[in-house]
Amino acid sequence: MSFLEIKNLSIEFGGLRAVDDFNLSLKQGELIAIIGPNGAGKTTVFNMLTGLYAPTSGSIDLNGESLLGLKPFQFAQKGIARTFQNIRLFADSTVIDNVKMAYTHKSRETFFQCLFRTPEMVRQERELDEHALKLLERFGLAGQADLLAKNLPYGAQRRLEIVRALMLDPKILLLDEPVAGMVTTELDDIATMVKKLRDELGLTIILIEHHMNFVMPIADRIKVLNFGQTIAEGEAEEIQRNPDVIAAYLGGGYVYANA
Amino acid sequence: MKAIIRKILPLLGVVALYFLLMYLKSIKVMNAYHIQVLMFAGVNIMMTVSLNIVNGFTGQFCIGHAGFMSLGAYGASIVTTLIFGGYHVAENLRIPVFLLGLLVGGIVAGFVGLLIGIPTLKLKGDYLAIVTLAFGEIVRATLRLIEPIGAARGMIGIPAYTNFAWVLFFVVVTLILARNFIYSRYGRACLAIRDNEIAADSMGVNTSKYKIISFVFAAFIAGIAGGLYAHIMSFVQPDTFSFVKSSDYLVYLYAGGTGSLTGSILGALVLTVLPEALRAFGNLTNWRIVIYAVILVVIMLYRPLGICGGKELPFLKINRKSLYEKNFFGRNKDRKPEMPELSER
Amino acid sequence: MSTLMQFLVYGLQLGSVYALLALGYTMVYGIVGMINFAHGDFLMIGALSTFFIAQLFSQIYAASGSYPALVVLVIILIAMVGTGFIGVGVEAIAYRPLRNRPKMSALITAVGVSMFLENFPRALPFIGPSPRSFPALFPSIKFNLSGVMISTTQIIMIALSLIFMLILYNVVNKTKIGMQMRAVSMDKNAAQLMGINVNQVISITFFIGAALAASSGIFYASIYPQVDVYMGSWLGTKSFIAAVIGGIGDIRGAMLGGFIMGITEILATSINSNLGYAIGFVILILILLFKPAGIMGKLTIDKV
Repeated sequence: MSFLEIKNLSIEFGGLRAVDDFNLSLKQGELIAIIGPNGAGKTTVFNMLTGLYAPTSGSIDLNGESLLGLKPFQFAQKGIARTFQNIRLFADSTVIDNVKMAYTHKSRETFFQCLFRTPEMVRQERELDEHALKLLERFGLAGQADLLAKNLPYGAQRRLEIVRALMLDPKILLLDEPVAGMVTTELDDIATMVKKLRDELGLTIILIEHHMNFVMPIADRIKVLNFGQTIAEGEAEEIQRNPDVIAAYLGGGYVYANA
Repeated sequence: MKAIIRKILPLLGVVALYFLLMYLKSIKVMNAYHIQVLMFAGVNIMMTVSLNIVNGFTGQFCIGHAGFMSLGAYGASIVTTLIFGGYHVAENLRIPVFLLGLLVGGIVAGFVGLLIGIPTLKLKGDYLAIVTLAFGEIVRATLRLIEPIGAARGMIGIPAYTNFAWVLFFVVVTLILARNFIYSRYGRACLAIRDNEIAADSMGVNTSKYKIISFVFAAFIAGIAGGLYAHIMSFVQPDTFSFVKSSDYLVYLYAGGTGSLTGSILGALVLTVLPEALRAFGNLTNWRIVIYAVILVVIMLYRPLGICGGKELPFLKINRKSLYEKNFFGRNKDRKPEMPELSER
Repeated sequence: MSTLMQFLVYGLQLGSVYALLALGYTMVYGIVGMINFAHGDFLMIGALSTFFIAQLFSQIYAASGSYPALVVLVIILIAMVGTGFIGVGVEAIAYRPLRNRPKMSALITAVGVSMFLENFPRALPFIGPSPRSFPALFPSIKFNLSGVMISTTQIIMIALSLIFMLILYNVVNKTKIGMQMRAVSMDKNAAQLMGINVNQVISITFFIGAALAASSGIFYASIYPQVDVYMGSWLGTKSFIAAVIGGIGDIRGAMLGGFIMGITEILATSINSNLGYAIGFVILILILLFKPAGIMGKLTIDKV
């Protein structure tokens, strides 16, 4: 049985079908990429997978349990974590607090322990600090733990979003355009990182991107969306040869993807 | 040992401050009126800290905070005056009755905060603001209707239990609790909501729950402050707690700086004491609010973060850096990051 | 029945005051996206300045105690235009520099501006806090329509406010400046790229809003003939609530909300005066619980 099962997912905004009949079945540890031109509905799929939008029809099952109707924070608590296309950090908080904030629902500190800062609460905080710092260290951010998130350079902000998502200890990680706005030399670094996340942490990853040459080498499977419809699905070579995909990317898109 | 000293020192400072003021009073440098101004300043500090928790740390927008204060004031006064008969209660029972009254005032305010918070905190920004304003006015209109507590005439004969020591005690307790709240998972959740509600939601933070917790916590503090206020004035009237009072607290908060307890103390203290001090130079009551208004607008235009702008005095924050520096960096100083370092553009 | 009709007349006259004021809130919100807490004070400025202008004119024109119609028109016009310019000034000094800052800053600034506009005249020795009785600008002949008393003042003010609303509705929907306003309300940056002078459009919006507020102040003072510096504060609060009830940002919503507020308030006041004061707030909370964007308002979805 598959791990994440998405069937016939559709959403309408005022009569416009932004995503039509999206199907996806994921095995644990798979790395799937969703590609497609701007406005194809990729982020909308993510927004449905994290509960920010309620689908008009269709189903989302994680380990056989339906997630429909849950609130975004419940999706996160069930183990689906995400990053955002336009970075959404807690900009006025420190780097380490950004990470610790993603631990809120797991924290066992009670309200009265917190108000009176009991030794038990202080101990838990210290453990949490360590945990967060270890994670930050793996991504080379531990040294900046006390900076405000908004003062980090752009690339570090993107990494911090990933660290924050990992703090949720997710089963599935959704990466929304992790290389948006980065120069080509950085693409390989990020690609290595994404692969490492899957190989070493055993994460299941769904990746949105329109840089084809970024996703081709790392994705197990690729789904191509255009105008909300799935126009192709398969391994990298199949996708590259697919005439529909070429058509969708034609007129600069394909050239840009190879740039 | 050092850590304990660092913890105790500010408290010793407060005690020293108390004795200094009492000494100044005994040698007649300060009179009862000066002390009373300081007591009002203390109540205002509590109110501003309370408002800061909602507006500054959680990023919500409450503009009817005097409503909670009035609930606390009336709740406490009903206990001390109507139930226990004011000064008729036995001498040795006065302090317990007073504390019970304050507690009841805080609970009433907190409970109403819960009732109003559950349905309304889904509303965003402007709408929440107007609902809290409406809430404050509804409370005022309702209090004006209830005959047993004096309706619009107000309630008189409340024993003046609050003295300077009590105010100082409650201000210190409020600051400690507020600080502990902020530097805990609750405070972090609130900050996350303030910084980016969608991201907070997506990171597993139950935003409505934490908004309500911060709202109720703040309402509780405001209720206690209201109780203290009633027992300074020995008289409460619904119209005292109008929108004008709520906007006073907004000014204290935003002038001092949101998201900073130091700012709340400074804002409330300076803006309470200053007009009284200026009174020595002639009657400025008419110009007081004009000056406030100008200060507020100028601060918003040129220093939108307020005087303190997110900065905090050392004893009002919990410095994690010192906590984890030796624990973590001591051990792991030389390890290299496992994930590839990204070249920054 | 005739008492109910009588209440309805009172409700309509109060409602038209609220509606005129609510229009300003709603226009500013629709176009700049901020709550102008100081808007109610434009009403006070309108009423108060009318008082002083009328006093000035009375020495020349109203020796007999009543003003000729033309003079009244001139007085009202001066007050409306003057208040309109004050509105433009407030926007330019206090709000414009904050336009791209977080909403909260603009809101707090508006609270500050409101405090200033109320308390500055209060502190001035020749105005001060004490209420003044407003001159009778409109003729007041009472009719008795089968038990319902109605005066010419009421008829004039209800008719005038309906005319103002009709003009505004047509200006916004049928003229070039109205089209520019709608464009700015949808997207300031895009409007700017299309060659619309955004600052000018916003100034005009504030001008119209403040001028309408002044007219509502004159009407209000004509039926409850007393003016003081705080009158704008609570009338403003209620009109703002009327705008929210109707759906803030929507012009028809503001009119609807204004009349709902006016009529319910009069009905509730006939039971108890405190209830009359609070009823609007209760309606507001009830409506927002079921329609979070008001009766006519549309809820916007956060873009992720």
